[in-house]
Amino acid sequence: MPLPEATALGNQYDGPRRSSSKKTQFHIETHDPFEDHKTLEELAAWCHRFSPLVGLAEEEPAETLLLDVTGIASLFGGEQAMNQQIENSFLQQHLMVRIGLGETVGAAWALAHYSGLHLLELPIEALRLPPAMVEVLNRLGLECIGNLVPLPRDELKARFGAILLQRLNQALGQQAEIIPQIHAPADFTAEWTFEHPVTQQRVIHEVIKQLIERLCFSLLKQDNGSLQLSYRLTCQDSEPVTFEVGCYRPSADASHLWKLTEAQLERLVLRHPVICISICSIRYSRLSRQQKELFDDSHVRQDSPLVTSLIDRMTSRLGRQAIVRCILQSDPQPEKAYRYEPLVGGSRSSRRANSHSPFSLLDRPLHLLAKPVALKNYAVAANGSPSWFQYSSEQHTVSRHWGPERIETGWWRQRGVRRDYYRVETEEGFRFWLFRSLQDGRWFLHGAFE
Amino acid sequence: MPFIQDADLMNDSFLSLLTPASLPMYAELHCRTNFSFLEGASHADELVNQAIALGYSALAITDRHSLAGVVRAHAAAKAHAEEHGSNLKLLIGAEIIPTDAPPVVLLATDRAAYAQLARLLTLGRRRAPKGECELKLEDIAQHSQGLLAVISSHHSPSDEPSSNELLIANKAHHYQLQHKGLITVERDGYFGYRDIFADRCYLLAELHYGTNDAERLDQLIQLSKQTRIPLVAAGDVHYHIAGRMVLQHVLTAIRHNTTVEALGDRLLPNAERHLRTLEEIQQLFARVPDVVRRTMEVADRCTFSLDDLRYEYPEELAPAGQTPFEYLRQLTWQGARQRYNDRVPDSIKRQLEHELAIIEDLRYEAFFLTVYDIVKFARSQNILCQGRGSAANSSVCFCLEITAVDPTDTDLLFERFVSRERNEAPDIDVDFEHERREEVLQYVYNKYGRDRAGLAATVITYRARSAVRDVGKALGLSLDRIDALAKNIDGRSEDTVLANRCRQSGVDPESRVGRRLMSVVNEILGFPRHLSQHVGGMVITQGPLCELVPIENAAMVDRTVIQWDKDDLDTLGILKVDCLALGMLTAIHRCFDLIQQHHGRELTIDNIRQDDSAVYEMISRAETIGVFQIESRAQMSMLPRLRPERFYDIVIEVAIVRPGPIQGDMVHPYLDRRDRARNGEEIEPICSDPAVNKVLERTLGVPLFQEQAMQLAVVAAGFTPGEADRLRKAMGGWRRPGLIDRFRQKLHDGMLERGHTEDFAERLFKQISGFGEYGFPESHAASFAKLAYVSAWLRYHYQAAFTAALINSQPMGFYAPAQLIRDARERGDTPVEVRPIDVNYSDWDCTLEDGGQALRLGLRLVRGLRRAAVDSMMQARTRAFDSIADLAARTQLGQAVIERLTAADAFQSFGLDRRNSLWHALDQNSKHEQSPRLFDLQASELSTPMLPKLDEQEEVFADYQSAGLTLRQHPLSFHREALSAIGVTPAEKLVSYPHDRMVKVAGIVLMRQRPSTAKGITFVTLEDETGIANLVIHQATWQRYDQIARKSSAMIAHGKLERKNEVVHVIARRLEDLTHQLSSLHSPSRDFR
Amino acid sequence: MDHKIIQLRELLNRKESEKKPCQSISSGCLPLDRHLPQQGFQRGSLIEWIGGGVGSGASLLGMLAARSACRGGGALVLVDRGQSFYPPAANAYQLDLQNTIVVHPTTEKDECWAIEQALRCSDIAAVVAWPKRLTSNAFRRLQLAAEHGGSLGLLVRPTTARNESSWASLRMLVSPSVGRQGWRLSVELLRCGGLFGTKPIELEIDDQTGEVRDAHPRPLAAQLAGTTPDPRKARA
Repeated sequence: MPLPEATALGNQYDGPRRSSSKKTQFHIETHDPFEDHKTLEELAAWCHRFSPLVGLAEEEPAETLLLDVTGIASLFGGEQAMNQQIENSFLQQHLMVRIGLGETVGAAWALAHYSGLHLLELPIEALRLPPAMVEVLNRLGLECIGNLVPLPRDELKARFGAILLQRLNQALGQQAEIIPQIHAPADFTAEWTFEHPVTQQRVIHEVIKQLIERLCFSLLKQDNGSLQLSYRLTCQDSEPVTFEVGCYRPSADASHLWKLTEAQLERLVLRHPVICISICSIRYSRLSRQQKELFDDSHVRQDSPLVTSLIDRMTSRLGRQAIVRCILQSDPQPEKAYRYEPLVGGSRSSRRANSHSPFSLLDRPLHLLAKPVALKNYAVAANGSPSWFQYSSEQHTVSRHWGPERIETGWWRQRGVRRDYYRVETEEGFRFWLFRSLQDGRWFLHGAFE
Repeated sequence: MPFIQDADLMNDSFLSLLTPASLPMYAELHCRTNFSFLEGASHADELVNQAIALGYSALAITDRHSLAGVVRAHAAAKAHAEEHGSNLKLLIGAEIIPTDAPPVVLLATDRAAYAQLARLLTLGRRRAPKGECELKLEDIAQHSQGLLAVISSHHSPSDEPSSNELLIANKAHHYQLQHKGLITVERDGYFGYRDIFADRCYLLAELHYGTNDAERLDQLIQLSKQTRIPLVAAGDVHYHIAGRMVLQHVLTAIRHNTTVEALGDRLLPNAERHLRTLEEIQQLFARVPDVVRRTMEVADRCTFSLDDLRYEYPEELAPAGQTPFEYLRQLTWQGARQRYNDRVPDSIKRQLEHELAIIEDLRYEAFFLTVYDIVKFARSQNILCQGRGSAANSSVCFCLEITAVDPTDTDLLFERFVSRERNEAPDIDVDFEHERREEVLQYVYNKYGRDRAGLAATVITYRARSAVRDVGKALGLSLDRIDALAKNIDGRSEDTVLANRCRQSGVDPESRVGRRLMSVVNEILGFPRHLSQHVGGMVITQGPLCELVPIENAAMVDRTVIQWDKDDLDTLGILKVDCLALGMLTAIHRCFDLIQQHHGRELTIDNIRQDDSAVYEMISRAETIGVFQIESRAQMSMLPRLRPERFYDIVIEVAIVRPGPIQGDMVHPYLDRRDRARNGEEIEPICSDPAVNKVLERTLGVPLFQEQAMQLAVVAAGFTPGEADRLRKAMGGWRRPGLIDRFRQKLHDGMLERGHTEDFAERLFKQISGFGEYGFPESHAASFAKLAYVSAWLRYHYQAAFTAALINSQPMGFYAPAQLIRDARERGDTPVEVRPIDVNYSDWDCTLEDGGQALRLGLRLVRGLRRAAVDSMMQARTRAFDSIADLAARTQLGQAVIERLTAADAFQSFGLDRRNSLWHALDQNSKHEQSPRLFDLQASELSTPMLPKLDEQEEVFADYQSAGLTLRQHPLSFHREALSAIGVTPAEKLVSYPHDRMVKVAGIVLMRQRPSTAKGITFVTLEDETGIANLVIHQATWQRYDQIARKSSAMIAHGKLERKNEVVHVIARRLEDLTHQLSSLHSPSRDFR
Repeated sequence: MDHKIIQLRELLNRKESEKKPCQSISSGCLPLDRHLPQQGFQRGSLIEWIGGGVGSGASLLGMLAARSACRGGGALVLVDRGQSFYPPAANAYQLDLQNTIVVHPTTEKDECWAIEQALRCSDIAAVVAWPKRLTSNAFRRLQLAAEHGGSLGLLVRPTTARNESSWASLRMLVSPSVGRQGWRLSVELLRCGGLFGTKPIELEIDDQTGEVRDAHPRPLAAQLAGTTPDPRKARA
């Protein structure tokens, strides 16, 4: 949920009032510690290009990558060059990085967080101690690591516990420390390169089928299922063709994945011969740790694999936004009283039980116009209700009406509404939903009872 | 709004001729004010006035579980009737939501029924947590006598407190019905009411253009037929005009602690909950006109008016066989003989007889006896107290020892305060020692019982800051933005200021959200948010109090509070005694005790001589730090100009430096006139009218006291005393721009009529408006002046004891212990020796040593130390502690406490400095865990770790951090060289500088004070090692350096020196933050180097 | 334990129901059921309502049938190309929106494909759709899909569809008229098994309760005798 002021600020700059040449673009996102950690882990995995042993420092929140570069600097042409190269690689990803190179994990951590020439000159904080302990040490006048060195160790231990000595020793290289290792990610990709460029669809389909099978095999080996497949068809003399296939739940079922892929392929037009096909599962998760069921209701055939696969197939062909569930919103403004949410990749948390209806059968129309249609020709009776109106070239004479139902709400949105709704029945028995805008007195057709 | 002005036109027959025959007579029976907290969105008077404007015949005020709003509505209707001859009938009632039956509106038909209603609400409120009410149908049945029940069949979504789900809990078909907005509750509920109320029962028909209004009406008609309960129209009114819908939505969001957007179906879908025109009502109920007509039937059955409430004094004040008046007379003469040593002067006799006659005449004896009784109790418990207020400065009160101010000394005549023509309740406030007032309150509860005594309410209303907070949240602003904005806003902010603050806090006031925020905040200002207990206004009745007004639980345990505040009580003429807490009385009492202990002299407020010229001289030099009332910057700057020589001068000093007189521009005229009078010049009268001059005679023609302003309105503009009093109330309290303008016109016209100049009229209005809220009545000033004098006397003669007593009574007054200590140590002639905190010498409180000459700081100053820990340490201190280990072993104090003591440097008598003592203290934990071996302790104590020494400056900061003061050097002294280099003048040199010179001063900010004057000037006091410098910061400067001005704890000010008489100010033009320089030396910077 | 037993019982129930694919489902509207062979619709078939245009009430009957079809379990699929379906109203029909998948195809081809896919899935209880045009071929495919999946295809069609060929097992013409108590819909069975051209059934939907009843309640025998006067003629 973006900050409303920020959104407002963004809107404001878009507004016509400030149509200056410079248009500021805002991108707003909420802080997500989980996502941060995940990204850091990904970065750690990426860092395997510099060192075979990469880890994340144990701290809250995690912010430090640990790289074991023992004996590696020479590969880069010296320590300085290595640092430079690592920094550049991060910069290329638009990431700022501070690098500390030390004999021990503790020393490197300290140097990365508190710059200084010598470890002993660094502040006590650089020892990775709890803030409360740092505060007490400071009160004793012990402000840099060097201050601790001459003090009797046993008395320090008596007052501050083993952790202080441990951290001190780790920093000074008198105690070993293990880097909690992060493994490089499993690679679920499969690739096929043709000897000659291929144009026949049948061949391409066959190859893809095989690739899927290979992929599923390696997925299954690690008890994983794919959530999203990415396809890349390298073509002769042309840009590669890429597309993605998403699943409602993780799957390592080759025929299911093929069906989803096939739906996409049907609509794909290949104008150039294909040289190479590669597929990669870019999102996957444990098969055993399946995602929550589609439907909460207990009497429904929960968890039906048939329904799941139907959803996957339809989503694959029609797009994520076209396969949705309805979430009712208790908002007095009719068109805001519900919203749709994609079934695949929708946010699961926002699901709430749809409550009992506040309306009876004929209070609301089944058919709502996406946008109310302004009526041009109409007449109004003495009591304010419509007596006839014209809609799509037909004239309707109102024989009965219910209302007005007054809805004045939404003032907190860009545009609030003030409407008097009438349910009307025409002489022929057709039923419509009309309203008069209290703001400008105009009449609109908003829905029909179907 | 068309008013029908002529009262003659308003009788029924005429009205029916006047209004179109088609329009019905209508009484609104279901209407909430904003005392249905966070639900109703209009003030009571707005509803009343709108109902009158729309031509309603009657209006019921039916707040949810409350009668808190009825008095205001009553007052509004009465005032409107007096001024315009309108005759809206006000019905008194409340809405009740029983846990087991449909909601119902109960209306009082007569006084007895009203008592039942108040009792019922008390019952429900007392058994529920604060702010809630819990009632069952059975309870209603027991209190139904004389009440009309108007049953609601419908729950609007906003009706229900979010937690109460009683209706939803039911079966499935119920659900559907309820959600369809149709009849909701089982018929049993209705039959239940019919059984209780029989023919005093009605069914509410309320239509608001819902989804199925026509069907709903059908169902109601059917229900009415089935239950044989007649149907009556009503509006379920939440606000007076449709425009308040937005505010109502915001209030609902605040109540549910969410945003408007997230409210969903808890939001009323349209703006129909306003008072509707008679045409609309007629049209809505066109099918069943009877339903509208019946509202008048209901209204006609209610004959109760709040005017019927007669207040009765408690009877048990006099001993059996004696009337209260006889008893009062007896006590008075007894007291007089004691006061005047059996030789009561004739003038006093005459005065007493005169006062007693008035008291007898106005039947106030019970009131005086009540106060006497309370004061007597306090005396018996050795609790210091002092009365003040309009009736307190009478000879009678002096003789009853309610006050120590002898009115004949000060020429304070009784009639000035209690008048025969203004038949209002007399007013006596009694101040008690702040730490012991609770004993007095409990005494009153015990004596009269909880059913007869209760605390008046204080209505907590929305101020700018709280409004911004709540409205911001409801509108969905992010919390940190709201926080920034709220912190940026002062208690009261005008529109333009609010806009600026918004801008500063990053909320564009021109944006949609910003505009919305501003407009809702402005509407919500002054809205009641909840009831809180009044600081001490006690109401005591003869009959059960809960039949006069509902009583509810207060936040504090064992406290109850009535639903009316002091203005409401005033309106209805109900007596209350204010039992207030005053820190200075505690301090004076403690000072008396210390003096007795160390100097063997017994002092009381009464036996201190009032004419000690040395004390007046000290006051004239403005050496008044710690002295009651006259210690503020503004007061201190006035003292050398006023140069008080006698007691009445202090009375004036106390009254003159108040927002009222300052705002009314009275200070300078008074000083001028007084200077001229001292020089023997003739003072010309203020105007040609002798009556006006007489009112102003004793203040040299300048109105300084609230009473004078009111009297002027009477004498110069022809106000009745009652009107003058209403004028005063209109000035204060609530925001009522319209009301004040009417008074202004009346005052203006009245004065011109009596031959005064326009200029004088305008000036008087300004003066009166200043007095409204912030002026002192003369009698209050006199009582305060007494305490001011006594505290000054103590300061002069026993400064060590005085300082110790003040610190021991903290928090109170303007000055922190640091300034009080500094003041005592630097006293010119006889500086007080102040000794540091030490575990071997300090008690919890500050104590005196060496025959009362030296002051030992108490452990109460140590931040974070609890009293219990200190008490146990003092108990263990049978002989001096000799080491930290010894202390730890003998006291069993935890490590945390010992660390606090080391931080306070309290081990100096062991020869340990802060760091060394901390080093030892840290060891205690592990020692405790192992088996303690004494020789071991000895050994570790002797080990000298190589800890870096604190330098002097670091010690000073550590002192400030742990105790908020230092006995070492002033922190600024470490920077003097650097400050001199950039041309900063030490504070002590300012006196010798010429007027208009540009200077720079630097110092720690002692205080910021912004008297509520229109000019928005802020006084800031800076302290350096040489003394204090007084800054005057104008609003423009303040706003330019907003952050520094409001938040810095040390600053450099650039500005022009201004001197007047002996007062020196610096008019600041530029401010610079010093905090960083001061603190950076203390804690090492953690920035990247 | 309990949970296991319940699961087992459900499994058995399911097996049981699968055995009888030709089970009939109430149309969700009792007066209509009385006129239908086997008192309702057949699983694995298509039902077609031809409405008289916007505001005519045909979808209402479709929704009632969908609600009824979902009672036995299974999800509901709404294929709504026009994106005019209004969920809050459906909620008033007590349609379980938790159990409803809404599909928004953009082309006629995708619409038809989606309906077919959904019908083919045996865990889908019913599919409601508003296809404007259906080729005979496409219609046939839908019918086969329904038969294969055993679900109910509920198609609400415009007036123009009346002249097109149909593979629906039941085809009804819905036209509104003016009722006294509520909304009156007259339902004419255009094709019903082998039956053609019976008299229209007059339904009346109560405005307050939403109850659907026969506008002319009378014994079945009398109805079979065909003595119903045409209400429109009567009014005129």
